[in-house]
Amino acid sequence: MSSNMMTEVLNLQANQLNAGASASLEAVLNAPPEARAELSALMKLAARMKRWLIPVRPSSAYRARLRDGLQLAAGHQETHRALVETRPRVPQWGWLIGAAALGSAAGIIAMILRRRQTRKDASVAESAR
Amino acid sequence: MEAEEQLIERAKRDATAFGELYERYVDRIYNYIYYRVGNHADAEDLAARVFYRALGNIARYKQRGAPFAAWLYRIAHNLVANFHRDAARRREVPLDDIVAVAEKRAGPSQIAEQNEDARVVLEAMRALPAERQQIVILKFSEGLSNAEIGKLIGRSEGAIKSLYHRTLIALRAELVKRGAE
Repeated sequence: MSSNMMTEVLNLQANQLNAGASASLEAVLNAPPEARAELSALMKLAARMKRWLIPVRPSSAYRARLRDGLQLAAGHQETHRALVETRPRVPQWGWLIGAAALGSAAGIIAMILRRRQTRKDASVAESAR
Repeated sequence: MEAEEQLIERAKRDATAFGELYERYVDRIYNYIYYRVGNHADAEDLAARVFYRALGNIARYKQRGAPFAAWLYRIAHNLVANFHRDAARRREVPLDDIVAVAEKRAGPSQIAEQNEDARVVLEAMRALPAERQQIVILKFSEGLSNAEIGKLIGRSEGAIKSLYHRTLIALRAELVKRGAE
């Protein structure tokens, strides 16, 4: 029996277990003797898993408590969002500081250039004299 | 029942809609976490964290074709992984949780045997990689088909089929290692 074939048989058995049917031994009996032991062991193991993995549900008290907590948290979240959305826009300090720095730098450069120009004009006037 | 996509969009601004999503998924998420951690106290704690985290992030949730449950399972998966990494919190499965699993009609000695078998099998399952645990929990505890499991964990139906086979082989090897097969 190929590995693919065994995969098919095991998946079929899982579907049967989920449908509440007990696993058919037909597949094991039809398997070649060398695959029979492994197939049988894996099918038994799957049946054990199905048996013990019964659905577990939280208690109704826990469910209600968690639901109340979530509603409360969601309420806080909504209030916070509403506050953020209605808050007047505050100037963004990063941009303001950046613009001020840029303005100051431009002013200093203009001052230096003007001073140079003045010096140059003065020296031209002096040499003309 | 309201379509899931609409409910999710509504849940981004409306607490009641999120409450509906919670009601739809709390049992499944709790069940998954319970089998990953093995006791109710931690399952309750982690399931609550899953939903608080989902509430905090739902505004950024984008629908990309995967079911909403896939997102919740992913959050649960990450929280369970963190939980297991936290060595200080690692402990044995409490006995009362195992007793809850045993079949109610059995006699005391049968209950003891069943509890032992459940303990051995479930502990061996918890030794498997997270994705393989997820496959068997979703398959057997939630009764999902390979196609449904594939959508939840982002794999094809065929991949789940063969992963299931490999999971059984790995589980059997784990049980042999523990002398329980």
